[in-house]
Amino acid sequence: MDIFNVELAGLTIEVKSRFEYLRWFCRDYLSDNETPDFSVYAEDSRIEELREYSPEMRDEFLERDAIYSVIASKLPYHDRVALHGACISYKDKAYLFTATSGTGKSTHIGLWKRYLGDDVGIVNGDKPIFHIKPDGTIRAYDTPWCGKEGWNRKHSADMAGICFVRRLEEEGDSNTIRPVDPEEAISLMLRQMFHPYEPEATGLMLGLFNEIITRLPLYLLNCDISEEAVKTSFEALTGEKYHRSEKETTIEEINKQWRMPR
Amino acid sequence: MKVKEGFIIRKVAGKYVVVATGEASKSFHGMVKLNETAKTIWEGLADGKTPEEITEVLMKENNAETEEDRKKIYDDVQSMIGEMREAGFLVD
Repeated sequence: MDIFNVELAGLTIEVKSRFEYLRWFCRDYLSDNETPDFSVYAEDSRIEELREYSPEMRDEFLERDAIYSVIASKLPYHDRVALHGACISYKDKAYLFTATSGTGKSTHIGLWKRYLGDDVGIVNGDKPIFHIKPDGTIRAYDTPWCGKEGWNRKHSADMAGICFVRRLEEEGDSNTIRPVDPEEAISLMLRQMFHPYEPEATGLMLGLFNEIITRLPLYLLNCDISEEAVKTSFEALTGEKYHRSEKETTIEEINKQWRMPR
Repeated sequence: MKVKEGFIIRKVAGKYVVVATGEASKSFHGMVKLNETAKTIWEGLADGKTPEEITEVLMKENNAETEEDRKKIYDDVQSMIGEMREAGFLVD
């Protein structure tokens, strides 16, 4: 058994793992703090649940993903939640793009980076953590779990908006964005929240979810993969006039700046 | 008749939201939104109340008095129970 502490979203977490790979995976998050907020271990049953979905996946990767679920299940006890989405920063404010898998969240944040350049930073491309703070702010945090693109940097910022992403139904339709009220956000977003195993944590998660959708501006974006899509979401979310950066950032450059080695 | 174990109900954005945890989440992944009346029926069933008892609670909540009201509320209760049974939320 390998045991080490990590610092994640301002919490110290003791991780117990079967495979040394997990320590390597968490290498940028290792912590010397000896008094963890909580401790996690992925029981065999958690690993087998994931194996049902991904029978081909190697054991050390299954443990990596199972540990994420165990951590995410405990976060609500510490005023934090895990939410599926792609989170970027623009001038020190964080914005989350959320949608079901395959909609094009990563494509959309890639377009922000391509056209808006250095002002756009990555927080986490797939599984950021949010701290719902008593002062009314919500802070977005990076995690080493970052989806197939592997986009993540050690970078946190205060949230300034959430955007639900949908693809345009027909080619040629224009990109549109509109505000979403909290009630509509329940249907759009609750399934993108990580649902903890325990009933008590689930109750807390719902309370934190309520804070997120009532505190932050929420939008629904219908978009394609054009520069117009970036202009549409950018102007609504930031309130600024769209201005493309002088030089386009290529996908190679984006990966160089954002991708974590696996 | 009772609501299966593992369902959590919380007020979110002015609506009552039900999600499943533990065993219940294996057969139900979604989420249910309830209004005030539906929430009273759901909680009544979770507490093991009969349809008649839940009807009386709703009579009070709605300041209803007549037999006609009672019959209408009782029908609403039964109809929601039917929907919940169909969705697999109840155990006998």
